Amino acid sequence: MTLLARFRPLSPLLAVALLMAAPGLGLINAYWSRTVMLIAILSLLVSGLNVVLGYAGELAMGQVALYAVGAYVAGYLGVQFGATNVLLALGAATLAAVLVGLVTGIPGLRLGGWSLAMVTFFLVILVPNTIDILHDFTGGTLGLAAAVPTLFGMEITGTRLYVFILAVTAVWFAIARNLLRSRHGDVFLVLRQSPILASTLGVSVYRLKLLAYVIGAIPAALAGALFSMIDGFIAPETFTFALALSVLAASVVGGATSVYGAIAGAAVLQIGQQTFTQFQDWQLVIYGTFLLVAGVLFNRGLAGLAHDALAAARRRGLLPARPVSAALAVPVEPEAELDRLDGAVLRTEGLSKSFGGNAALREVSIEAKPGEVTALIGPNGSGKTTLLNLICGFYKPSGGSLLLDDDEIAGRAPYRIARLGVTRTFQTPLIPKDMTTLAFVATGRYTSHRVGIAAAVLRLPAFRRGYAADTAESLRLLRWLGIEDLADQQVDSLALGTRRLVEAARALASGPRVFLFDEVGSGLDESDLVVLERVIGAIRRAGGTVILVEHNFPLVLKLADRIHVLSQGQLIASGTPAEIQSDRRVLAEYTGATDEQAETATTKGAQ
Amino acid sequence: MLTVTGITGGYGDLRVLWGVDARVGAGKITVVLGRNGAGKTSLLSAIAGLLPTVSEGTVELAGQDLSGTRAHRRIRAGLALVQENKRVFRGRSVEENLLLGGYTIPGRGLRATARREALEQAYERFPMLRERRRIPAGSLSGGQQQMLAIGQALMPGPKLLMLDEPSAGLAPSIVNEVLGMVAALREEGLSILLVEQRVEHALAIADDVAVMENGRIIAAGPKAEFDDGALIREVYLGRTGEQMNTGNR
Amino acid sequence: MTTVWAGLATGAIYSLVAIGYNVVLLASGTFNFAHAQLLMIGTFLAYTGAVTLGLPVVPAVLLAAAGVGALALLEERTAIRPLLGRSDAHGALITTVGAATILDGLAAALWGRQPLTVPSGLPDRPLELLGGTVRPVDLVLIGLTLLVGVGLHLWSRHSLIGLASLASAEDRDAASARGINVRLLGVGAFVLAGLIAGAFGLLVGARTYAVFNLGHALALFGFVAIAIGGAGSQLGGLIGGFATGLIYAFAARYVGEAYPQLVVFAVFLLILFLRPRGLFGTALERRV
Repeated sequence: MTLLARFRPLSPLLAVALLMAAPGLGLINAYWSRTVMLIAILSLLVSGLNVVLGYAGELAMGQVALYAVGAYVAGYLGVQFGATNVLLALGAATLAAVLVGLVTGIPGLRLGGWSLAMVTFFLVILVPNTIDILHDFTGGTLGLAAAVPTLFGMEITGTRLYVFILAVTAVWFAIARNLLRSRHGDVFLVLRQSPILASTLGVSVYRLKLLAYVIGAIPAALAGALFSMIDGFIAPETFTFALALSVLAASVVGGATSVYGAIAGAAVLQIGQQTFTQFQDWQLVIYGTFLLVAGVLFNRGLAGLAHDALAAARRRGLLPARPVSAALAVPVEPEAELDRLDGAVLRTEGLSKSFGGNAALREVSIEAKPGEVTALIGPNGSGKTTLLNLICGFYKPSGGSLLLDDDEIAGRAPYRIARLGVTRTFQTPLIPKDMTTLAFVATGRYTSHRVGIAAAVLRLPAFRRGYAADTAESLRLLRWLGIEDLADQQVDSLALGTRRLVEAARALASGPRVFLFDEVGSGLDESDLVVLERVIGAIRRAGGTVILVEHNFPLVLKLADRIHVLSQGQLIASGTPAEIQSDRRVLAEYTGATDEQAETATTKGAQ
Repeated sequence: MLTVTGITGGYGDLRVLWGVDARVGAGKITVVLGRNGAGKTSLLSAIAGLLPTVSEGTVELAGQDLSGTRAHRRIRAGLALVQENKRVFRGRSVEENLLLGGYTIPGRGLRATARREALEQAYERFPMLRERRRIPAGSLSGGQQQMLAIGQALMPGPKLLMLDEPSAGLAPSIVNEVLGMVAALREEGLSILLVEQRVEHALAIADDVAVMENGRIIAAGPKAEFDDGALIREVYLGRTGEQMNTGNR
Repeated sequence: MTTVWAGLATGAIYSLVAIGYNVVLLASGTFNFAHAQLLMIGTFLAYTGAVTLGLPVVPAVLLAAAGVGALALLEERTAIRPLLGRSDAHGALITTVGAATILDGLAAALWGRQPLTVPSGLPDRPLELLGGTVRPVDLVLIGLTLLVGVGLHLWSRHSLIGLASLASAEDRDAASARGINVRLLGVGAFVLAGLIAGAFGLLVGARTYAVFNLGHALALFGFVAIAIGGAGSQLGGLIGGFATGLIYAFAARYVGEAYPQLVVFAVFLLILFLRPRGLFGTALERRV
């Protein structure tokens, strides 16, 4: 089946094997085998950048600096300690990369935007300076002659080195592929597009970006170590700003949001550079043009173009269509109940929030119980969304407390609150691009049913089980909502009503304790509303705690067990739907009617 | 004064308006009603040229075709928009806000006579703003910010004023004041397009009514046609009054 | 004191870059990575004007200003305009780096890779001032930078267009709804930043030489200035630039010739870590 097929990358393996055997079979000469090695090394640099740029959405220009770190660490170990074992060199380079990644990533990622780009750019500029300062270790401007690399006493040179470099590159790409084609990769994509959605999934934006950055640093250092073995000599002139730009250009040309695009981009740049040596003077202009044109025209690079071409071929029937994921789980009746949910009591006590002296919420105390729907209503600007954002941790309260099962959660980071089982939907659904509906729903389980990075990279049984469970549960939810047929569609192609359903599925997938629905009914037509009513009713019956912020009064009356009415940031009434319906003050406040008009409205409504 | 025909558009691929027609008579108030998410705000954005994607439709103001032009041209042509919640530039002072409102007044620089005159008029209309001219707009109360936003919009002397939920988040007493101001502006001859959730308040000052649902106009006409109260149940309280009470859980 | 003068003169250049970043950032919300490269091209155009064409100072400055202004306009058209309205936020991250690289490459190809001496037209003899020595050209550079920085700061608060630029930085949509042509404002900001960068080409070149990779270091130190001063604050950028220059000069004098970059880098990391909004910036609450 397709899912299993994805775990078996046969054709890449064949390609690598063929390439490895090529010099021995006399298929390629020395010039081309060197070219292949250089492409492999460049593609490592590019692949690391792709993890950071394409998935975490941060620009890191420091691959060249890490490249230098890897080269010098490997070189120094060999020269100084005679530690020429290539595996040792790679290990030490990885360690150094992680270290540099942490030191520069922790401050660089605090602010977002351009600061990581600048910190890493600074690293590149510092390279010659640092090599000079550390000339006792690096040989300064004269360069460093590296020792001959060995593996278990065997000298790694010539064809052996060629095979070794390809093997290391293949292993890295297997790691990158396994990492990026897993929930981790999906969550990286969410992170790049919507940090708010990422924190709702229970992800610490800062830590995950740091993780991506550090992971991206590793192949760069590996590449450096490998490079030091090719020529046996490390010269400071290698680690130039122009190289940093060529890495960036290769990433953009190949497509930053792809795994193998890095190889294509690296090949284009490396071969281009060797072939058009007479254009050396114009090299920078060419790189710059690549960046400018690629950035403006096709922001998904060669990989994106290939992807589009494949899709077009499938549409025209030139290629067999991709089969829809087959049903894995037992069929679920549309009317079936949800599994039991472990609802929690959410309570606010005198919760207040002001923005620069303007009170948006004043002393609001409400309680939402498991197995009940608690509705918040009130005119626009009455503070409903502010209350919701306080509960989720997007705002810090100015006063009062916020309790989840008697634990104070006020002021905690959004991702921590999400991890405690508080999930939400958004007034305008937050839907990422480049992701199928199924994968999007499954991201809801990222922190609640976590599969470690190591398990994903090594495709351990835990990963396979987790992946299968994610898929089965997501499909089950989609089927339950009656939209199973959309599982393989791009989630950002869905209509508004379906987006709301998909968001509800995403929220349900984590098996949360408290649900916050923000204006879930707005912009929906009748049939969508019916499904949503059923969803909310089912969550309530399953024992979940539901907080509903809603304008649609009939919907609220139908669904809510308790209604709280906000006005001017204050709670003006609380009660059952019947009580609220007969509360004149509420109607007056809510519709702006005078008491008399409100009365006519209610009596007319009751007729 | 304003004639809108067949506006279709939204945000990128997401369509929120489907062939919307609307008109505002000279010196009249047209009220747009509809639930949250019905497309009222998007309609105002489309008229002002601020909706990211408009694929079809025309906008005509006082006989001048504004279709396809960008926002600043439409403001220069005499449109004014008071957006919901984004009322004022919070970091700038009250006076700077008013001067920015008068950005399109011809004449060079902050001290141009026409601009100073408009400023003086705004202060006469809202004496409370004169007292607070130097303080940052962000520290005004909600009602004061709303008045400032209206004052800003009036600075260039527009032909048509569009207001998006001017009463949102305001205390009832201030709501009356704001909507009273809107009615007074009509008496001065201004044409007004009003989006308002407080149905009764809005109907009290309306001349014409348009009702939106799911990005379409489902009913439009003179206020008299909506006077029987069915409107409140239909639009505000939901699909139908019966459903509201017979609905079971 | 000589060290202070040296620091202030270098700092003035960083301030200029920070000012250029801020002008564009305020009016169009874009961070123009290539601004330092515009300044670099300014030094070469000043060289061409003053040396190759043998023009007097004023025409040479005008030529550089006009040339760089036109380049900035071209950059806006090709690297920024096509991205407007696109949801992917980091498009400009790539395209402005691309534009910067093209400018680097063009400078290297047209003027070569060797540094060129740009004559300032001012006497070369150092002056004794406040207990230190300083070249007249540096003094003029410091003075004019202060003038431009403070002038822009005041102008942005006391002119209609300045206010409009602050307003559109705060909320582009709301600014459009007031009849402000935000797109034109953005283009204007690019051109203004280009004109300033070009006009200073002669003075900057006289201090640093005209060299094709001048932009890299300037971009970085200009960004450090922004980090110190807070993004979008003209006054902050001005002070941040001078502060960076002083740190550089004192590190070179007292820590060692090879170390100033490392010291500035350490300060940069510290500031990002401790005061991520800059010393003059204020923390903003995130809104959903």
